[in-house]
Amino acid sequence: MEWYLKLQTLIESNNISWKFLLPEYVLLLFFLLGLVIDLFVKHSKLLPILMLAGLAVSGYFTFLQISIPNQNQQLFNGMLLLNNKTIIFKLLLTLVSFIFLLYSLTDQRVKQRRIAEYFYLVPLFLIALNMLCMSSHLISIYMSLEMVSLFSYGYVALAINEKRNAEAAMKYILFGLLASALLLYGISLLYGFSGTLLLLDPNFLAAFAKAPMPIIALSLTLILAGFLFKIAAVPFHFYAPDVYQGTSATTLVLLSIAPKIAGYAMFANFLSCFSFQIFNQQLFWPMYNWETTLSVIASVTIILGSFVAISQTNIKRLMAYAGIAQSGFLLMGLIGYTAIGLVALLNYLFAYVLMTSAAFMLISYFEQQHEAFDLADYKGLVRKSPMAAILLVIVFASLIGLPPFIGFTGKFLLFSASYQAYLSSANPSVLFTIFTAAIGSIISLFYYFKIVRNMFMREETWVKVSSEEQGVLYFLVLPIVIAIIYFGILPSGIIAYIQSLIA
Amino acid sequence: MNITIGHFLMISAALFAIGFYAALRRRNIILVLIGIELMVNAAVINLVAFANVNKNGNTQDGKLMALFAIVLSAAAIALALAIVVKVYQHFKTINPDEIEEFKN
Repeated sequence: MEWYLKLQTLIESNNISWKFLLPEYVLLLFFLLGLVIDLFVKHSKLLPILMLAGLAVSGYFTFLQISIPNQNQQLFNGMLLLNNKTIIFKLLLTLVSFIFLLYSLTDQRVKQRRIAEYFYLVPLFLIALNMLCMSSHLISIYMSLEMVSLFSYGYVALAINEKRNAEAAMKYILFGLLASALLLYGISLLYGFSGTLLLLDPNFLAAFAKAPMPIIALSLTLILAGFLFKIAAVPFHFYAPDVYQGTSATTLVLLSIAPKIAGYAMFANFLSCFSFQIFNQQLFWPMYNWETTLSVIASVTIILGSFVAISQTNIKRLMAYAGIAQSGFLLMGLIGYTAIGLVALLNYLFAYVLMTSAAFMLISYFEQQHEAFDLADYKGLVRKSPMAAILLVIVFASLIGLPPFIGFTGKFLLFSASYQAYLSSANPSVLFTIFTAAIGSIISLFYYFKIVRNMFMREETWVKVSSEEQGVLYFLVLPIVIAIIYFGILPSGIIAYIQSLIA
Repeated sequence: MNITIGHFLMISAALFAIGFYAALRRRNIILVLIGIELMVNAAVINLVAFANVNKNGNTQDGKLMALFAIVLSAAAIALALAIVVKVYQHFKTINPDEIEEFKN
């Protein structure tokens, strides 16, 4: 009789949970629609527009979830966790997928090859990303992490330039599988001494206090390997430059942002089980202090990404190393795991979506219009496309963190959040991270403005005649750049909004 | 002789080490993939062994996780093999060290 009652509560929880996945159902429905319609209707614009509609509807339903009264809603017996924090992550992911689809409508290379998978896999990818944001059980974390990774490998392999794509996909998948195998082994050890895979289970943390410290340190390090791979942080960053160089810039609008956002969401979920009070207590945590670990990783990531980016000659390799440095900045939001840190992280992720998507759209534009792949190809480009060049300067200035743009307020908030974490714990490694981040910001001025100098100061070395298609600049990149400036000048609205949702 | 949890852990640790070595040696993509499979299998052995020992915790979790891990790693390996075929078409080799198009 007892097991029957237990089973009934399990089923009850499942029955309640279904209705919270409405945005994901919408995405699934539109994916299936796209699959069927692609068989019968050979029209190049219909499929992407349908997918855009699907993303918009799903984003609307995600937005409606904000008003759910019961915060920290546990779905499917703790497999998934829905709260305002995850909803913001989901909205950011929907935004970046929307921008990606809208932009790939204009990509000539996608149009010529008519790759239907390119479009109708986006909703499915977004489902996987949403699940990763919500997962609060090690099974669901591992499962959705693998799903996201499989889609990423597939997107890299979907060819535009076949030979380079094959190499990039090979490096990506070998490295990714290695990282996920390490993660799985770490999870199995963690399960061994905690006896549960549910992060929210009170036994999970209680078992930690009793278990031998070396094993805890080993298993958490292995788990960290899988997480650091997803957010492209040192020492699991090797794949990023090769993958970026071998992938078209259009695909990178999605791939350089979306897995990273979901990775941070998952990381925040994982850290949230080590609740606020005991987070930094040395007594409980003699061998594995998250604050020290994360700040060391963040500072090494920033330093390595910034210094290696200086010597790059290929624009996408440069952006890859710059992205690694940005990852380090984002990690600063998680160091103290304070409420202000989370607000700073979410705010900077919003800025990151705007800045990086605009940067890759412009790089893709230069690729298509002027066949510019190396930094040398950017010489004198301001005379050929002044509009795009000026937009790129604004985006780079924001990525560096110069004052009137959104990148400045984002970085400022991250700095103040980590300084607060330092004040509350007096951990010298946090202070060290703040210093390295300041140095990293200054160095980023060099490598971003190397491109700007090439565009404005240098004479063009060769002439390629091409018809300019400026439509995409005005309809898509310009609004994003205006948003970058607007939220840079008036940042309080968005920060207060995020704060009101999380508190 | 009694077979205890320690024996399972030793076997899985040995498998993991062998797999990790094979994956890092990078002679041949197929061998790397086999090494990664060995690492996943080591984790699966761990999960099932712990699920049978753990009396106070949730014993179903480990077995469930083992099943998911097997299925997902099979799916990932299938995709990896498809990419290997594509790589071979372009480079006529599957030695990762010889596949170096990108130069800084």
